[in-house]
Amino acid sequence: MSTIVDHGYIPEEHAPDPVTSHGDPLPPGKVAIWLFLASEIMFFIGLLGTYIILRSGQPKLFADQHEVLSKPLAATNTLVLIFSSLTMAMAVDAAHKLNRTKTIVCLLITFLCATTFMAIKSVEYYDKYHHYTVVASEGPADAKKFFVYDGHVHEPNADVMKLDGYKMEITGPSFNINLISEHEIDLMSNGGKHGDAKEFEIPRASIAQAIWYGPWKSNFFASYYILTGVHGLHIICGMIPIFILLVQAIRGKVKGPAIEYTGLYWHLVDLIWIFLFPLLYLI
Amino acid sequence: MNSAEARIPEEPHDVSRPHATHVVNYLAIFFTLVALTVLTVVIAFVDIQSEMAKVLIALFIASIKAWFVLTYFMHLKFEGKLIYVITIVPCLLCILVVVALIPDIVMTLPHMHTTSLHVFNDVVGAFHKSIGVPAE
Repeated sequence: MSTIVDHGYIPEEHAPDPVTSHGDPLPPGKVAIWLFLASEIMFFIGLLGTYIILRSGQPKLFADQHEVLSKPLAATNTLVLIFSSLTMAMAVDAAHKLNRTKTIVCLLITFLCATTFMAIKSVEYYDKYHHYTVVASEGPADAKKFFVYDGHVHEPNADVMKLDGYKMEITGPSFNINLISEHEIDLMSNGGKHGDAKEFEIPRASIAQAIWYGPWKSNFFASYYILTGVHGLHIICGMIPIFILLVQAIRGKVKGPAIEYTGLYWHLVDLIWIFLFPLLYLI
Repeated sequence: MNSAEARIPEEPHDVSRPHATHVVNYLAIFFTLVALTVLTVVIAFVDIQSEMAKVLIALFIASIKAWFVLTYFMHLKFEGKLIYVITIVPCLLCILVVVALIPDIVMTLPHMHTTSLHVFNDVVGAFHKSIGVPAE
């Protein structure tokens, strides 16, 4: 059966596919995954739009507060993700060439890279969880002096808070704790240069305000947590199919198209990080 | 004669068949991306005064990296028109979103009291004044 009649019944399996009838065959799954990626791009540009607005409203705050984040950790994470993109591309290539061993090895490395990325991300989040800004007073009741501290605290609920960081004198207790950052206090208390962190002991009774570096710290950290958080969620969501494909490959089933579509998603997650890294950590 | 003859025979869905794979030197792309990452980090430590210049340089390098990922890792170079269209439309929409935000950014100039962003600037400006940061 080789002719196609214009008017008449064409069994589904013989009908010319409207997508694949011209040029190379294009599987519907590929169209579907690209449409999904297009929707992902629009999802992230929405969040980046809020970032643009917030940043343009407070350029100095964004410039100061991003210094609190660790550039070496983020740069390492960028390299880990680019490397995982490489191994994912090689896994797709190996799967198409039906090279099972290479597919397994590449998928495994990709999965381990994703785990490493999330581990480093956790270290960053954990560091911020212990990072505090504190306003406290010193001296007798009639001549109180107020100070703002910024640094790492490991027992925030102890009677004496031990804070490893920087200290600066301020005018009063009603100081805006959200707008100051460790970087700014460091520079202002050391005459415009970076100084060494010192350990301070702050009695609990003298504390007027305290806040840790969560999303409520400032608009910068709100942007930071939503963008990296949603991106991290995408990493975890990518790890699930990679793991399933890995198990299937080990059991002997190398699913070329599925690996290819997962790979496309994985590259997009990498691509989004390529933009987040400079926007949140470097500029 | 017609397209039905030229079609690739149907196969069960869970069986993969070797594609006409395209030779891409993935390692070379990887090292290019690493080099561009290093460049981004190095430029971040160069003291550039203009905020806008910093942002544009970082975004420019990120776009080059994104182009490499899209073209080679995601095989966009070897795809048909449909996939191109699906990719280009959201990219254009992204540009549209950013362009649509420009009024909100430029209208924060001091003489224009038209946008909520101006309130942000007032708050931050007053704050910096209170702690003795010189005005920019």
